[in-house]
Amino acid sequence: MPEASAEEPLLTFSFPLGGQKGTKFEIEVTGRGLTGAYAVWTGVEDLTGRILKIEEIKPEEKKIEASQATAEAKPPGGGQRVLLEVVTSSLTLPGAHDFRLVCPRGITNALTLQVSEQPVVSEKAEVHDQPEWAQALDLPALVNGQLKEPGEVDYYSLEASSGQELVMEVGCAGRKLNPTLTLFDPSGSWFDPKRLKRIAFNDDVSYRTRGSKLIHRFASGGKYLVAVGAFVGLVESASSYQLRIAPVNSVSSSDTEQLFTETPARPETTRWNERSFVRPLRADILRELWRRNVQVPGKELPQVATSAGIAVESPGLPRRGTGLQDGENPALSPPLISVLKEKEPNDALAQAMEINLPLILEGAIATAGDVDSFSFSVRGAQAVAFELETPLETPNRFNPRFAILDAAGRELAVNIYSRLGGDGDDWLLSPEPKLTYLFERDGKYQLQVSDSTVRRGGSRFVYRLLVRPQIAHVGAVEVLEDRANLIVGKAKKLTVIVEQEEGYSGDVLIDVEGLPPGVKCFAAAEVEPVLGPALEKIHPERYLPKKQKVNLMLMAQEGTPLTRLPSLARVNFRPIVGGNPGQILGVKEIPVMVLSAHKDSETF
Amino acid sequence: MPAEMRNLRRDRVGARSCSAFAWMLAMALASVASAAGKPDTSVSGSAGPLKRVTSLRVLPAEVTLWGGKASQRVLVLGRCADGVERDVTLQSSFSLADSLVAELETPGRVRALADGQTLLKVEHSGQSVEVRVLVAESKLSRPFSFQRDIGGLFTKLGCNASDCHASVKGKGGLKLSLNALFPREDYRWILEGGSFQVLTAAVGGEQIPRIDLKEPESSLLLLKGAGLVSHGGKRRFSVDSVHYETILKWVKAGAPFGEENQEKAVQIARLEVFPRETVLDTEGKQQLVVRSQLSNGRVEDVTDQVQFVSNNPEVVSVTQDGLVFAVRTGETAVMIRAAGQAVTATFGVIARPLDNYPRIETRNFIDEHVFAKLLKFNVIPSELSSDEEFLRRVCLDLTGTLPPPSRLAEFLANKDPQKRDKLIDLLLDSPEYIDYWTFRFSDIFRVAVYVAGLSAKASQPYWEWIRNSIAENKPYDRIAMERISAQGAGGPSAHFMPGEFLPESNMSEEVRVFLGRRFDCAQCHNHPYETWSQDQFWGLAAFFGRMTQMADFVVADTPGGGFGKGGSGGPGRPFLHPRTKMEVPPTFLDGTVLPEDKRRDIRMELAKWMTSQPYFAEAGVNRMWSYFFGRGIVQPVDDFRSTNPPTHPELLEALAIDFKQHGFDLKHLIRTIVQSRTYQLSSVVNETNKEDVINYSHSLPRPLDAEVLLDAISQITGVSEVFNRMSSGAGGREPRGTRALELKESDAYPCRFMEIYGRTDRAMVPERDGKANLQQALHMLAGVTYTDKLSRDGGRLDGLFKSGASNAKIVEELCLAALSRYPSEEELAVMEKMIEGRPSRREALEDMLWGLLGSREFAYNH
Repeated sequence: MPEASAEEPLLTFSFPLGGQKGTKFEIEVTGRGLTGAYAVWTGVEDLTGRILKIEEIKPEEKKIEASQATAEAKPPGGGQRVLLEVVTSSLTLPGAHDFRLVCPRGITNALTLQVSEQPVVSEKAEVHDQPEWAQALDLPALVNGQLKEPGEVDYYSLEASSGQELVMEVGCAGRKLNPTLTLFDPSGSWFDPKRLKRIAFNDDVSYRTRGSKLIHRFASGGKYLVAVGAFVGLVESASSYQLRIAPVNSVSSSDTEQLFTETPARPETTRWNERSFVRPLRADILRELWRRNVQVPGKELPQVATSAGIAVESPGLPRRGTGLQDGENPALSPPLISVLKEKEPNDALAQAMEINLPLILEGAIATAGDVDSFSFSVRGAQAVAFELETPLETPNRFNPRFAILDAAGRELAVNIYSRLGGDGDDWLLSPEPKLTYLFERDGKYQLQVSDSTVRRGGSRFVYRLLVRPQIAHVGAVEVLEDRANLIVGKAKKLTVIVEQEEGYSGDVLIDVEGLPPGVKCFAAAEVEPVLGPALEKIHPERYLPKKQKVNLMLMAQEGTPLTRLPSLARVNFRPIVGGNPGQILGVKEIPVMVLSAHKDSETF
Repeated sequence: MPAEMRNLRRDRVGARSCSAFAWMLAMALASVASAAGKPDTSVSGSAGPLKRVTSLRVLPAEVTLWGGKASQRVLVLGRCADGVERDVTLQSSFSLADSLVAELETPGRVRALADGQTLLKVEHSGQSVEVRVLVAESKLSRPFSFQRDIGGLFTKLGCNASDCHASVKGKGGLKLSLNALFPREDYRWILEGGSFQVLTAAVGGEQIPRIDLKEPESSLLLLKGAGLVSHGGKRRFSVDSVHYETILKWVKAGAPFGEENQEKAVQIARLEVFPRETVLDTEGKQQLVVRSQLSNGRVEDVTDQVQFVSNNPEVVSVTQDGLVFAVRTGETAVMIRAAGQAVTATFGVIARPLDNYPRIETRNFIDEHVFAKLLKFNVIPSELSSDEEFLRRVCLDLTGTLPPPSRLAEFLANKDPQKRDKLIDLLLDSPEYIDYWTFRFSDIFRVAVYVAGLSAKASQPYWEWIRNSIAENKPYDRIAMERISAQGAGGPSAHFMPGEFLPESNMSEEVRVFLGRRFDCAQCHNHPYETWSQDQFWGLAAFFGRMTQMADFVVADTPGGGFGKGGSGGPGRPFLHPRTKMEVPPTFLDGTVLPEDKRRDIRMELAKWMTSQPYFAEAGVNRMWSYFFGRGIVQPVDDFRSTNPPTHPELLEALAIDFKQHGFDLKHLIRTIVQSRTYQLSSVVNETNKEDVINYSHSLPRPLDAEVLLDAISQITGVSEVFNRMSSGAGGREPRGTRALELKESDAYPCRFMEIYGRTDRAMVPERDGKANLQQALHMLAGVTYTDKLSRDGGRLDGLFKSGASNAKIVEELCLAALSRYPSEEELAVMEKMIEGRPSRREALEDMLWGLLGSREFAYNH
């Protein structure tokens, strides 16, 4: 039998983007290597699907896609179109859900579908890329649409009443499309009765999201047009979107709700991230950090003081007997950190608010140019970590700056990381959510929090600043791959990136559980790549963790049973210090399949 | 009288002009005087009643003499019967009421004798004028001042001109500052010698003192200036001249700096020249008198101590003593330079005065100023434009869009006398106005991607900010402040992001765009032509010295200092003068240093200062004016300098004041301009104004900008342009029907047509010259823009053709659409004949349309 192609099945596009919970709806996906797909895999019980039809994409369609597609989507050997039926239940959580197809060549990458509370309508089949062909919508509306050509615009019409306030949002999944929203008054002008008058426009809700949103109060009632387009008209290949228009504060919409939110993660796996401005900083953070180190029985550990000043002598190990396993004596657990709200006025250093560490400060840059000042004391050599959360506004709208100053007001450290980049002579600066600093001398110090500019401020510019002792721990652990299709007799690499924070010097054990029977996991070495000359960085140790890369090889030896459906393997890590293991913590679940080496063989 | 010179009514045309009645009365009086046999008191050298003097005035209007031996020349100007004002000083008689206070040194020159006050009486041809003369501090002598006495001498003789010792590094081992602007530096160079170096404050070259205190006659300053030794500048004065004596006396006295003990030396604060504006006939001449206003509040006649230079010797010539002679018809300026200051006097030379200057109606202050000058220059403005002319012009100027044929018919039929003003208001409120002025400001604010080194994620919000500013009619000073002080991400902060991020480049551009001055030359050395110093340049650049670009397109001003290009040293570096290597604090042009406690929002402080300067308003109105007239009152619009005076200084000032008084409202400014009769004049010329290109006596045809022209072609043909975005990967595209004016970043959309027709890439502050070139002609013949749009199915012509419309109907519609007028009977007949004579009617119609689109009448705004 001929050898199977090494190419894995790949999903590139799906339409529509989703449907209402408690209903069945069809989705068309395209990709390659999908011939013979036989199952829809979601990993969630109340969201299932089945394959209805598979067909090859015709040559002219392949040509169009090739000219417009990115390198990833370009089909070297052809492509397929698959029609699915998706079934949701009343228990299906609204929001984004991943789904994959199971094919003879393995499991595909994941695409996202949206499950909504409200009914969803489809974009009409007829072209509506001119205002006079706009598709009329009844409000509230949730529409599945797609853009296929560069420069394409989809027009929708609505009737608004005088004084009515509507929210209009458009979102998409993935990074292929960056949708824009424009609101028009179609009443024409002196020059052209068909002229659209632009009322409002939005490109990005925020710098890091690709959706667009408008909230508009209509001064007068009548017919209006909403246009969905692509940023700079860039449509690489057919891309799906969802458009929602609803009265503000209606049941199905609020002015803070995003159209695309992530579903709650599975409880067994936590995503650890210390470099995000929106990760929540909770009062039990110390306990979380200690879980990522090792408890050593019988060893006395430094105290973590909760009274005035920090008393941690060094980046310490967790207290003996403390820990996070269920059933442990809570009296021995690390304490919760107190939360303190800032009090104005505290702009000048002379007005600095006295604080005791550790704590979480809650404040806001209430007006443009506002500065919040705080003063605190340290004793001896103290290693302190400062972490910042900005839950409502993030860079590049809110670029928070916090600085550590000595008693004389001289700046000792700031959370703005500076390094050379670009072609080697451009300074790159970025606000960082975490800063570590070693106070060498005891005494009084100050903190100042502001925006990097003097132009930003307001009720949404809130922050939470955690100041705590440094605790050596394993930071983020990331697995680069999202699936593993193993061919019998061959191996597949999983790349794991491990970050070590705040002086962690122990080892990190990585293992994978839940592999299909017969599949083994081994450590693998890789030749170190040759790097260019190091570019200058200013105090990287204050901002960046140390990183290590671990290569795991999953191998299905000869005789390993083939799988029909994927097994959900879980990658875990475990800190090891001085030979003593810490807790097992999950990193990621990855579907794994074992496939025959022969292309046309049955897989099971 | 030629047909185009129909009788025009004239209202009040400015304080300097005679009313028609007064003119006629003066003529009558002159005739009567002549008939009575009185002596001929006309201007010497000319005969006839037209040159009989009918009124007199004396300049300056008041004489104040400070100090012993102070003197003042006066000029006597006589308005003649022909309307021209002539210099009659030498033909006038002078007398003083009190000869103890002052004396007449020569006719027209009054010298102080003793403190007091008297009257100077001037008489000519039966007219007389009295001038008050005040003498003060007659017992005191003016103290010696190096800048005024020695530096002023260098200025008069041209030694410290930009092409000689005041060039960047000086000449022949001697460096001087331009027009003695920096006397202490000049003093040091003369006493110590050496040459200027651009990148360091250290003196270069061999240091040879220019004076010899032990043997004053051997001073190089004297030997070279008198041509006694080899001198590149040749002989500047003779050994027996007063200039030689002055320098020798100074050296013999020990070469003092003078006024050293005073905290602040007395300097010339500004210069006045009399008369400021003159019209000569081709035989005319005019003496200039120059007076300095000193920093201590006093005045001084410096006519003998300044340098006079004609900007155009082919129009007027000027002697060293300030006597100006007409050469031929035209307009120019005479530059007057003294120590540290300069001023200009404008001159117009006319062929012959007109016999009957018509009365011209004015609608606002613009007309008053413009028509006053035209009257002075004996130029009759053209008639008011026809409705067709006006409609097309104002639509293009306010919206960049041709009026639809239906609206033209409507406008022509409208009998409302206010219809033009109403149309102006309607256009100002149209969405097309927003599109067009967003395009205009995107040009000058340089919204671009590739040439700016930006990503579209940064450039597009910049465009959005401009658009929103235009849509809400944001005051111009607020626009400027937001741009100059931009921080954060989005909006105008994108302007400061790309490329080298150099403070000096940023500052130069803000000054050029918002103050209309080109400061760049002062970056490396004191400005060679203007009074800007290198220190001033870097002091202003220091306001941008803290700018930093952060991740995700954020611009901020960091407390510790800004970031330049990389290398060791890290961020937060202080801002250093490139020559002295000293830290430069942020300093305004007047020398005031911004206090430390105001530096947190450093560029906002600069923005407030800039927008409060008179330069700001005048630069703003000048640029806006140029959009409607094809040139600014100062041209180029961002090159205000002493050697480039405004054509209408009072008009410029009045516009600036009005702009400021109305809160820098752009719509108000535009409305004021287009409501004026000046703007609404026809482009059809008459005998008197056919040569005029700078005095707004008629509308000057202006080529349409590339974007406007392309949109017009698309509009007429009914075939939209497709704009594909340039990209290294899969490109984007603008939605169908997007107009060229709506493109956000001009350099992101390659378009051969627009490149040929002068679209700028916005890599620098754009200057569109609109000159025709061969490529345009070739493109018109065979370029795809024309060939494709003319023949495309579904276009306007295709629709007309298939609708069965007659040739006459088609010709009429296309003329209305393209030219905003009905074809004449003759044109219609010719075109119909041409169409009928061709084997293919469709091709003939395409050719006819091609002819329309290729015509100058279509491609120009007139």
